[in-house]
Amino acid sequence: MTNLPSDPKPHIQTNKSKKRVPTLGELATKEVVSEMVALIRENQKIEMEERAKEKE
Amino acid sequence: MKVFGDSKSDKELSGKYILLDNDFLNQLFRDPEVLVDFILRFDSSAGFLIDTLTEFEFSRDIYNFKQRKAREEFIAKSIFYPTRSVNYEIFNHLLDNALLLSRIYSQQKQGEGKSFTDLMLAAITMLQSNTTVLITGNKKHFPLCIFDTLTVYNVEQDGDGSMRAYCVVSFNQNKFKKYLEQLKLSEKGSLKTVSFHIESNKEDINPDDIPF
Repeated sequence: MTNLPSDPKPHIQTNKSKKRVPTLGELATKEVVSEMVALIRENQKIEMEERAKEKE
Repeated sequence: MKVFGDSKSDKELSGKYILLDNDFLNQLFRDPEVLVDFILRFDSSAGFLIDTLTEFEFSRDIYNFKQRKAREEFIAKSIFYPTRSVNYEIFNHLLDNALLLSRIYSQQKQGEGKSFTDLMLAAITMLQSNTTVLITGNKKHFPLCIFDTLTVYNVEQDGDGSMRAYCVVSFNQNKFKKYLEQLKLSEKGSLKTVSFHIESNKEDINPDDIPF
């Protein structure tokens, strides 16, 4: 069977109401970005510790 | 600033979901400045999508518990949505797409070096081509015979200061139809039962049925 673009979607739509999708800019609040940056820094710190251990 | 690219192209991604290849996800996780640069560039997009297979690649081989935990917490943040490939029915649709794409790639002599994950990411981008683009540092895994390059970002790397390119690609339905016809012709009608899936166009995105 060939499903062309006009074919029905394969999943059930549960709600037809049109909600506005939040943008990435809205999802990425200061708090979220700060937490992500902290995780990156934490990972960098662990990597440095691991490298230091390997050198010993 | 570490991310260089045409800012006009950023706006073309407005309202689109951006599916992440593992190399790009790792790039975000390596450098806070790069993370913030990309968030600012893509601020009008609908967010990042991470597939289960990409999540697996991002998490594999990490034996240090603290590192693993940091990675898990990172991708659990609200700017990332999971794809719907965990749904059994959708997974089967994606397999159909991936298999067909692999055949088209091979016929067009662009089939080498594509992993299962590459094919599945291509299949997702195909299924949701009206809402989703893909960003990757391995453009050759998403070949020209099917995908259009929308824009390219160069990212300055820490350490040696080299540049790494990341491409945003979209599924081109016209190219797909053209090469599908070629495939059908080459198989002399035996591909009559070929199965593939592309979701119908929508005027706008309903978060209750599309987002993941």
